[in-house]
Formats: sequence, structure tokens, C-alpha cells
Amino acid sequence: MLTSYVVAELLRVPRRTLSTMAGVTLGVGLFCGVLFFVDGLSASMTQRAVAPLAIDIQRIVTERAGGELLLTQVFEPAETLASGEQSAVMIEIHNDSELPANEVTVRSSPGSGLTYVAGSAEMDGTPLDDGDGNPFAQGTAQTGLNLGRLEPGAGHTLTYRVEATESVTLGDDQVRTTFSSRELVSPVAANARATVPMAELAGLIGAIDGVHAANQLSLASLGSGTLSSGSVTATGPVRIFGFDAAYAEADDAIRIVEGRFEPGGAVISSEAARDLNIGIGDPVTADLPDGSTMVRDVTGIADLSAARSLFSSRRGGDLETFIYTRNAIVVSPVDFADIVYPAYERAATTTGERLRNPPIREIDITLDDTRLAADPATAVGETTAIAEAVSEVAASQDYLLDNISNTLQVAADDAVVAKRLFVFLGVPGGLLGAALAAYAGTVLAGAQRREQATLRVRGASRGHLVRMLGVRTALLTGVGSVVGLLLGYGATAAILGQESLSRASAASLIRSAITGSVGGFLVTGAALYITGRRSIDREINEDRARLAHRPPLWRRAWLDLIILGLVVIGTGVALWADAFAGAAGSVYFGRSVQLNLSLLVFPIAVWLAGSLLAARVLGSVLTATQPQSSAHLQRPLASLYRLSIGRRPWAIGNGAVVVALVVALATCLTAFTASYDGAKRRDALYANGSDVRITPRPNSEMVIGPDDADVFRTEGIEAVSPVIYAPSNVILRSARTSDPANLAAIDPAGFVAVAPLDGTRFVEADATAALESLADAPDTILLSEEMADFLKVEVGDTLHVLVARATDDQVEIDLVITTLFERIPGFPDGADAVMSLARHTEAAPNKPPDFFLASTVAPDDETLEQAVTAIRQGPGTRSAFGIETRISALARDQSSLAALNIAGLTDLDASFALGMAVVAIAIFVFGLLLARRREYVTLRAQGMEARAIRLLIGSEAATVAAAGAVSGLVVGAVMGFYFVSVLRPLFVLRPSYQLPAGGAMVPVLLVAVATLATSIVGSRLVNRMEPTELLRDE
Amino acid sequence: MRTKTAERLPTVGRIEARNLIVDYRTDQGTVRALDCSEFSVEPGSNVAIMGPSGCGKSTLLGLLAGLAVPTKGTVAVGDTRVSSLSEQQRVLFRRRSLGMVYQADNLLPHLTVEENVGLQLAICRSELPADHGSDPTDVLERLGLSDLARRLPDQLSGGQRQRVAVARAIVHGPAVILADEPTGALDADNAERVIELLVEVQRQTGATMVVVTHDPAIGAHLERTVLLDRPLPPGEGDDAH
Repeated sequence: MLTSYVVAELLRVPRRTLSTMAGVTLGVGLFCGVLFFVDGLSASMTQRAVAPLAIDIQRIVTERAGGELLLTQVFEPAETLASGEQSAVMIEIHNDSELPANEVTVRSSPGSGLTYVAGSAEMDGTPLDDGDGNPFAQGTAQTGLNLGRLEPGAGHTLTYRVEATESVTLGDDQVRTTFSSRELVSPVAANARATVPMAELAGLIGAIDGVHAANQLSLASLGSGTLSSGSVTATGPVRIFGFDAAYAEADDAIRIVEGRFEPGGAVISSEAARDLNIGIGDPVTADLPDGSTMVRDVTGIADLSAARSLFSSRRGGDLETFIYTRNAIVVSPVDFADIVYPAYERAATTTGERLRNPPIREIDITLDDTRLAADPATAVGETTAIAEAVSEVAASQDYLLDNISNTLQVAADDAVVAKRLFVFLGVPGGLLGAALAAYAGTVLAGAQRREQATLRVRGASRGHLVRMLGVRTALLTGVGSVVGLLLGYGATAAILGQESLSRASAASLIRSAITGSVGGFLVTGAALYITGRRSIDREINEDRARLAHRPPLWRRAWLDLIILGLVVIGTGVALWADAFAGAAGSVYFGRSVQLNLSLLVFPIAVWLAGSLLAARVLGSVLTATQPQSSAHLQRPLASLYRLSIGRRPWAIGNGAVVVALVVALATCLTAFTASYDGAKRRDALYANGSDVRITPRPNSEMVIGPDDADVFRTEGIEAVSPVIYAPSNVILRSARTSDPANLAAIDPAGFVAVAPLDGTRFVEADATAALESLADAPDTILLSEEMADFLKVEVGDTLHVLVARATDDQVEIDLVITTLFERIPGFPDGADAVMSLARHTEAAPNKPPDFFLASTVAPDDETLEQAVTAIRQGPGTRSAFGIETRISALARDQSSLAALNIAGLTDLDASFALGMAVVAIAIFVFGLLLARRREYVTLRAQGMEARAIRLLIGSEAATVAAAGAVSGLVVGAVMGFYFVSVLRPLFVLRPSYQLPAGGAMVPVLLVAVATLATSIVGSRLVNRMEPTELLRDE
Repeated sequence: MRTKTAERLPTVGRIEARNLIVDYRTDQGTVRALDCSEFSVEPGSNVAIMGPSGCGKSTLLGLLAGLAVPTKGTVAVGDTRVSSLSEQQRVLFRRRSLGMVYQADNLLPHLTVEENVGLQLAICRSELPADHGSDPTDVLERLGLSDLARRLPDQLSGGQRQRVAVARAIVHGPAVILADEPTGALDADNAERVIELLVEVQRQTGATMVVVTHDPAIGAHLERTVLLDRPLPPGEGDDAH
């Protein structure tokens, strides 16, 4: 009965029902939309995270350059020992190879529950001195016993006894015994299984479920001058690789520019081909470390300059650093195994010195990433399982670099940060929905006071009214939530794309749907119910008086000022604790971006309290400026307007709060998006060094010197500046130490003209002045703080710089350090030192620039694209260049949290916020009509024209809109500043706060249009009122 | 006693309504709200309209006030055929000639007593003669409301509010006063005082007054009573007109 009455009532007044439900729908829609957005975005993070990986998993095969040493271990007795019982450990090591092994060291230490029996150690039956305990594991370093040189066919028998301190089952895990040698640095365990050949290992790994491809790669560094053809020798160090065509095909960065891979032949780098002046079919000779040579016919020429899989460092200290060697030769895996590797073995065993850079053999594994779970947190479990399966193939022979799992772990952590961040960005939407529902509830309750009074007169009890309210609330929020759920899904699909959304698992989408709709139902329902319940609890007359004079509860409780006070104190504490700083993410360190997401409470608090404070100020101003009572009113409309807003300031204030909340959210999102995008663009520009970076390809036929930069000054290009730079391209030597370093040689004036120096940090110096000082004082150098620390030098010290390292032109020059810097644009791999290009060219005249930085005549993307096209169609037709732009640098930044589609989320937020702005104004206008319709028809009966009444409604709505919009702009600007500050760690450069006027005006204009539109609609409703009925109704 | 306001009354002839029919269309069909073949009030007189609930008393008053138009028939106030006026002309008619009192006071809750009365005058000022000298303060004083002038309606009793409503209805010196159940929400004492006040004011100003009431005691204060019958459904008895 009650339900059918409520349903009939809701259907009877569709405008009121729809206005109320619109708030619920938009609130739930936004909340669900944000959750769906997170689902869709998380589902694309796996693909985005693994895309830049050069190699998913590297199985580094432990080389056995010391020959085939065999180490075995047995126990006598071998069964389980009770506490106090002893057993003999018998170890045999034997050199089964044809080469001697040097400095063979055997290490053996009893594990937990076992102790070495003093004086029990023997070698070949001769007792060994215990020294500092167990002679096979001496001291805290557990140093093993050095057996010295082990000739081919020679061996030793080592024994000692162990005693159990508890019940122990003997085995290789309990007594860990290993050997190592000068040729074989990595310890090899006793009883290790026989080595599986590389090709077989690759086959076994390739058969593992989830592995897409497993290919052999061998690489080694040859010395300088070891690559030649006839009488011509290439200058500088040489890299020799062993891989086949299948490996090359799996890596797009290995570009065959001429010829192909052929068994028995060799592919050489473009630079080597040019230096040796050879082509396909010509012989090339590699001098191997044992003094032998390998001669092969060139079957292909390749551009390897971007092949990270080949040139990324495998050393722990600088893992993944790209260290390019221009002279490279690639032979087949068979040739590497049969010719190159043995040459290293011979060299290691005969020269008596440890090889500084022994050959590396690895199986590079590519996973089938299409089978990986879309969510990185799940995917990392899958890749870890695959990695474990890979490790179990011929275990203990080598070790694994699980790049993909490391990357996915960071991505998973990033996803968690992203989810929290997005939820925070979505929270205002949810709160706004609740605020809108509460506002609608207030208006609805006001309009229903008379109906409720009538029902009471007819005998309805308070319980009846409360139950009706419950049913009404359930129906409104229930239907609103369902519609909101559908709206949220549709909006997300429209913004994010159906494809992205469909990648998310059904379970996560269902979870989000339930969370969003049920959460939204409860929050908006509570807001609607509480306001209605308060209305029922009041007496009609009391309520009428209160509405006119009594400020809302939040104002009486000073809620706005208390929250703002807490924000101010909290901000002070956060600044003092440097809590906004966070930490940038790093795959290398396995660390995701560290954002202090708890600080996001601040912008939300500012948003709520700021909007309330604005309403407080507005209410106070209106109250203070209300006219004094007078019987002599002049212009009726103006008088009515002033009296209405002055005597009923909280009707205006409540409306303004809702509008301010909406406009503030939209403004905040506009500022946040603009600042975020701006920061990303600045980061990309900073990383690229300028708008365009032109890198001559190794196979480029044209050598462009420092003075030829103007060749790139085509249409749209304003300035071009040459740069010499490469990782580890110089040796920096101080009085204390020396180290390879990344030197940038720049043309100071040109570099200053093309490079963005905004984010450049120099210690106690202006960036531009410091760089330009290189022109005035060419014998100076700028040094990074980090390198200065390492070299233990200060400003004013002289640094010895070996420029053009490993080339015919290499020469050491002395430069004086003039200033220190933290970072400089254009060098993503880092620049340790900066010097004058002119001085570099003077010292090494034959060294051409490595790349050219060019700025465009205008900062827009269209000009950039035209400029790139002009370069491609101009100098690009005569030679091969790699062209990077700030746009391509931005697109490449896809693995970090900064690459998340936050713009999409803010679009979602903003769309709903704008919808809410319209609804808020509509509720205000229709609320006026509901609450004041008797006033309006009385005025008509008194002789006031309908037009004047329309103007009155419009004026009050405009006041709400204007006050809300202005307040919202201010509050939103502050709120956006907080958001940007919290997200600072996402960026290299400190993001500058931007609030584009155009974007900020969108919500304001929309509110204005909504005010106009709803006022017009409202006016029509005034005309349709039945004065006779309304005036006699009591 | 002739007041200044009364001296400046617009000239209004008799109130006359003929063959009035008001039908409303509803989902259940057409509903006849009023069926009145003839109704007239002489200038300067007062009359009570009585009848059973639903007979169209308030509807008739709405037609006389120009707040609604009849489905059929004519309404004339003096030379003005109200039922034929445009919306704008009816607004001007109300300003010039009409004062209304309702069952509910219908005072604007955010305006003080003097502002509620003053607003009526401000609305009508453009249609009043330049030498129209009506003053809200005088009216309030005359009705004994001066002490309440700066109070808001919520700070008044029901009887006080209705007296303010009367003051509002007469402040611009209307030639016609229409009152729809003016005492319906009051207790007997207050009802008596309000109807006496209305009649006194009507006689002082010389206006024509029509009062809708269901209370014979109220009707007894007026010079004449007109009884309205509940209208027959559409189609029944149309020939009588």
C-alpha cells in the first residue's frame, strides 16, 4: 500500500523525481566509471610495461673457461646421523680437460646441525693444518683451500669429518662444497650435473610452456685494433657476437642494411664496414685473445646502434646501461663455440692472468606476452613461474636475469599506486553525487512538507511517513544506481575504448560494478534519507521559520574553518617533513613511484571546506547587505530580489555550495590535466634535448661535421646545435682516481638556443651563464656533482680528460672544473661532464658530432611535424638519419606511471562534473519553483507580470551560479595545486602549475548556460501554474 | 469616513457574469468545475457566495480576478470584459482594480508586514494616478497593525497575518475586493474580527466586495448571499444556458 502510494507519487511529479534521481545517477555513474576505468587501465599495464624490454629473461650460462674440472663428494657413512655421530666427507677434484686450470680453490663447509671435526682434514692422505678452524672454509669469509694449478689429467682427494649436533640427514645441501678457478670465477657445486650444450639448452627452454622463443647469444670484447681486412685495421675496441638469423629476426633493433646472416660467414657493423672499406663478399679478420685469428667472408652489414639486447651492460654495477661499441662482428653460434670460446679458454689458461671481460654466453628468452594476464600483479606470478621452470632446466649450471618479472613487479606496484590515485581522483565525484543527492533531498523535503502535513492530518503517523521516506529513497537510489552503473560503463567505454575495457577480467568488472553501485546506493541513499528524515522530524511552522533564518548545521559547527585550519597545519607539517617530495620509480632498483597518497586528503579537504567557506562568506555578505524594513518599496522586482537573497541567504548559499563543488572539481581537473600534460611534455622535451634530435646512422654516407649543422636548418627549424656524446666515451682522471664517463661536448651558444634549460640544475650558478662560459673559457669543464664526488674533485681543480677514447684520435687534455651541475637536458643516460665542442674538435678533429639538436620556429606539434617532414625530404633523402622528437619521446615513455591515461580519467570526471553542474542548477531552479510556487502565484494575483517573476527566478539562479562559479574557480585552483604537488614525483622536472583560462571557463560557461536554460524552462512552468488552486490550497 | 484611498477609486460598474462554464480535462475525462448562468454584484455592495464543496465558488472568484478564463460565458467588471482580456491586460486589470484576500494569508515569508503591504503598492504604482496618495503606513495604522510593521509573517498570529493580508488587499485602493474563504483558517473570534474588518474597509472605501465562504455566520455579515449549486457533469443540463 505504502509502496504503491510512493510509486504513484513519484510518477505523478516526474520533474521532481528525475531531478532527484539525476544526482544519484551521476554520482553512482562517476564512481562506477572510475572503478571501471581503473580496471581497464590496469588491464593494459602488462602490455605497456613489457613493451620496452629488450630481453624478457636472460639465462646466463656459467662459462667453463678453465677446462672440464669435475668435483664429486660422498659421505661415509651416508645415512642420517644422530646427535654426536660422525661421518667422513670425501671430495675428489679432477681435471679431465686438455688445458690446465689455475688457482683452483675448493671450499666446503658443514651446514646447520653439523660441525667440522678438528684435525680431520687431509689432502691425498696428508693431514692439513686446521689454521683458523676448517681449512676448507677459513675465517668469516669462509675462504676455501687453494690447490694451485691443476694440470690436465691431474686431481686431488680431500677428506674431513663432520659431527652432528642434532639429527641430520647428510646430503649436498647439508655439506655445501664448491670449486672455482682463475678461469672460472663463479663457484661450481660438487656433483653438478654434466654441462648441457647451449643449443640443447635453448631447445629445452624453448619447449617450456609460455616461452615464445629461446635463442643463443654469445658475446665477448676483443681489444682495440683486432678487426681488420687486408692491410686496413679498424680503430677502437671490437665486440664479437655469436648469434643466428633467428635471433636477429626477434629483435627489431638489429637492422640488416645489406646482405644477410649465413652460416660460416660474418655480419659486421656499418661503422666497421666503412672504416675497413669493405662490403659483402670481402674477407674480415678478427684477432682472438689467444693470438689466433678468425677469417670470415662478410655476408651482411648491420646497423646495430640501437640494439639494446646486444650492448646493454651485463655487469651488476651498471646493469642495462647501453654501452655501444661501433666495431662489431657477428658470427654463427657454432663458430663462436668452436673457435672464439676456445680461444678465450686458451688465453685464460696460458697467459696467467684473469680475463677482465670473459665471454658471456646466454640464452635470451622471449615470453609469449599475449598469454600473460592483463593485470601486472597476476602476470608477474605467471612470469615468475616460467622463470622457475627455466631455472630448473640444467639447474646450477648458470643464473637467471628475470627482467620481465622485475619489470612487471614494478608495474604491479605502479598499478596499486595508480588505483589509489584514481580512487582519490574519483572520490570527489562520489562525494559530489552524495552532495547533489543531499541537496536534492533538501529541496524535495521542503516541497513535501505540505504533503506530509496533509497526510498527518489524514491520520498518517510519523512511522508511516518514515517508512514512505524509506521506500521513496530506496526506489530513487535503486533505480538511480542501476542507471548510473550503466552510464558509468558506457562513459568509460567511450573514453577508454571498448577494447581496453574488454581486456579487464569479468571478475574485476563485476567487483567494480558491485562496489560502485552498492557504495553509491548507500552513500547517496543515506544523504537523501537523512535530509528527508530531518524534514519529517520538524514541525511545519518551526521549519518554516528556521529555513528563513537559521544557518545550516555545518556553519553553526564551524566545520569549514575547522577543516581549513587542519589543512593549513597539515600542509605545514608535510612541507616541514618534505612529504611532497616522494621518490621517482626505477625498474633498475625494482621500485615503483613513491607517492604520498595520504596527502591527497588535502585537496579533497580544501575542496569541501573551501566551498563551504565560500558559502559562509556569501551568506554573511548577503545578510549584512540586506535592506532595512521599509513600507516604501520603489522598484518591486529589484526590491523583491534584494529582500529574497538577503533574508534567505542559505537558500542561495546551499545552492552555491553545490555549484562551487562542481565547478571546483572541474577546475581542479582542468588544472591537473593541463599541469600533468605540460609536465609530461616538458619531461619529453628535456629528455630529447630539444624539439628534434637528429642522429646520423652508422651507415650514413654523409659525414656531417660540427660546422655543417646548418644542413638541418630546413623549413620550420629555427636553430641547430651539434653534440658529441656517448656513454663511457671519455676517461676522466683526477689526482685521486679515474673512471670512464659520459662526456657531452656542446656548442655553448647553440645548445643554450635549442635546449630547454628550465629544469637544469647547476650548483650555485645560472645554467645559461655556466654553459656559455664554456665559449669564453674553452679549457674548462662542467662536472656532475656525482662524478665530482667519485673523483674527489672540486671547482677549480684540473681534470685530465681522455677524449675520443679508443680511437686513433684519442688524446688526453687538461680542463679546469668551473662549476658542478645536477642534470642537463638531452642525455637520458646521463651526462657526467660537459665541455666545449670547439675544444673537443681542436683536440680530436676527426670526431664528428654524434647527434644534432634542433629547435622549431614554433612550439606547436604541427610545426614540429612539418619540420621533421622537411628534414626527411631534404637532407634525409641524401643520407640515413634517426630522428627523434619530443612527441616520439613522449610516446616512448609508456612504461612508467606517468604514462597512465590520467587525461582519460579526468575527462571522465569532468564530463560527469559538468553534468552535475547542470543538475545542480536545475535542482536549484526547480527547487525554487517547488518551494515558492505559492509566492509566485500570489505575486501574479497581486498584479506582477509573469515576465517579472521569471526575471526574479533567473536572477536568484544567476546569483547562485555566479557565486558558485567564482568560488569554484578559486577553490578548484587551490585544489588542483595540491593534486599537482602530490603527483610531483611522477616527473623528472618539477611540474609547473597550469590553469588554462579556456579550460577553466568551460564549467563556468556550462553553469551559465544551464542557468539560462533551466530558468527558461522554469519560467514556462510558472506560466502553467494554476493560481486559483494554489492560492486556496492550505 | 471616506479615506484618501477611497476618494481615488477607479470607476467600476457592476460585476456581471453570464453563462459561465469552466471545464477541466483530466485523465478520467472532462470535469465541470463551474456552471453559473448568472451572477452580478452592484457597485459598492458586498456579497457572499456560498454553496456546497465543489460547486465552483473559488473558481468563480478566480474568473472574476482574471486569474483564469472560462470555458464558456463572459465576466465583466464595469466596462471591462475580463474574460476577453489578454494575459497582459488582465495583469493591468488586477493592478488597477483588484485586491484579494485568501484563506491562507499568502504573505511573502521573507518580507516584513510593511514590506508585504508596500510591495502591493509598488507593483500597482505604475497603473495608479500620479496623485494617488495611498501610504502603506497609513493603512497599517488604520488597521491597527503599526506595531507589527517590522515583523515577519512567521512572528504573527493567524489573525494578525490575515489582517495584514486585508491591508495588502486594499492598500492600492482597488475598486473590487475578492476574498476566498478569508476566515477559513481562523478560530471563531478571529474570523469574526476579520470579516468585520473586511466589511468595514469595503464600506469605507466604497469598493465592491465578493466573499466566498462556506460559513453562514460569515455570510450573515454581508449584504447579500448568492448560493451556487454543484455543477452537473458536461452534457447534462447544457441546454439550460
